[in-house]
Amino acid sequence: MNFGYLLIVDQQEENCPDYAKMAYALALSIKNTQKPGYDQVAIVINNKKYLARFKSLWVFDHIIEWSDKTFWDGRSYMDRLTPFENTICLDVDMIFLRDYSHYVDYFIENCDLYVTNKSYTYRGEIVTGNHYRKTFEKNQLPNLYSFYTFFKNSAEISMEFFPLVRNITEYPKEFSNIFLSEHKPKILGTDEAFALSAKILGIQDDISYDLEFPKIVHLKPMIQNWPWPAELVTHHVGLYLNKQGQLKIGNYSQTGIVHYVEKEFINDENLNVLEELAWKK
Amino acid sequence: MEEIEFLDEIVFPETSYMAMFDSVSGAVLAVGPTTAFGDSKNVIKIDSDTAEMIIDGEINIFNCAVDVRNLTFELIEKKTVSMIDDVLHRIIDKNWSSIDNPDIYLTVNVRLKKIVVELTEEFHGTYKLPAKYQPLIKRNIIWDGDTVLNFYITEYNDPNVLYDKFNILLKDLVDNKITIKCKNLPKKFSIYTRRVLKNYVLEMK
Repeated sequence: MNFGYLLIVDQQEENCPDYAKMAYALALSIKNTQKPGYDQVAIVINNKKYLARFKSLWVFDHIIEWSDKTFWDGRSYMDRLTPFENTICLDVDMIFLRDYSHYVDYFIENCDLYVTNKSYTYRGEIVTGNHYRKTFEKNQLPNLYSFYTFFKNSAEISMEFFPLVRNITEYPKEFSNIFLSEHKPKILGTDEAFALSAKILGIQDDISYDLEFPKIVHLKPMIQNWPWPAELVTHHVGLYLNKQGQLKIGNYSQTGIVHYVEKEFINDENLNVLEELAWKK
Repeated sequence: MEEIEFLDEIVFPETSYMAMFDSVSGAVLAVGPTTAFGDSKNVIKIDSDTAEMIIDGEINIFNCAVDVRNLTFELIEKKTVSMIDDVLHRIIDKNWSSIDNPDIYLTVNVRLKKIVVELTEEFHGTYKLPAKYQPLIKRNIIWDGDTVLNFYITEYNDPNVLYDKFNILLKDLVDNKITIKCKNLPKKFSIYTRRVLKNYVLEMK
């Protein structure tokens, strides 16, 4: 089996979120929790110099320097950039908390391309709020989340899907004017590009049917089913990572993959917890 | 007609604003255009948006203060403490904290199971601030005699698991450090508090 996780980072200079650090933390958490054979990690980064400060670069099995595209646009090239035959491409502001290798087994056996179509609150409820998804609702796009995307490189469907995603990313205004006229997004992000590509190709039911997994906790504040508006999740609940690498949010133990959103979560202390666990493993 | 054309060519300078403050307490006494304060001492430049909101009464001047140490203008809103980090604030270990001017400093001797709590010398406590903050202008603050500092000793980074707790009256830390003997002090733990002051730091010995 040739499988691995792909992380794509475009690290900007000062005053930008430290995506390289988040990718490093995610790679540590993958190494800490996944079984051998399911714990390969490749990072694509615009400049390797941003990784030099980390103590355990061995958590990256492949380091690929690539800077042809900036910001999020590089993610539409995930099929070209991956060194694996079977890949799960992840957003870097996520953390693994237990073994999810059974997800991988399922995807490899049953899917050529799968894009997640639901997310969960920290209390384990399915996210139903549309605060961040007005473009999807008004334009009847499939509710796709690009933060966890499985694909087989050789699959025909990948060869149709990703080139169209690239086109959409390259010409956002043109695609918005034609296909997203009911509610144009301020920025046509990867989620919108994925959803639009799936809709145009008419493959949404093939690449994103209903599954109970992956279970990904999405910590954007306005979709936590709280009865009040929230600016940040951490204004209302704490995120507590213990020495065993287990995470509680408020008083809820987390077992799914957590998409923490607030970049400050990966501070030096939490990074040290993840590093110590990796060193002891 | 000529006069109007002449007026059109005048470029009016952008109004800048200042706040006058009490040098000891930092309370803001007046806000207005820079020209209004002449050579007055104890004035600080503030941004025009904030100044105009104060002048228009949108911000109460009594909710404004100047940090006399850093000479920064601060808005102090009286509000219910509702953010979780204020209600349940984890005191960060010195090794991981970027705070070098703590208001409250805890020194933990794990072997002896003792915790020493100190207030910064800036508020007339016993904790000495680093040389870069010296000489220090001490702030004359009269503490409400009932202000209590609550400390909770918990599982490392998990306030859901409580091992021990203790309370200290803030006024008791003036010119005095307090040592607490803790029976239940595990090897790895965190200390949480209700955030009465801004900066807290913990040192393990």
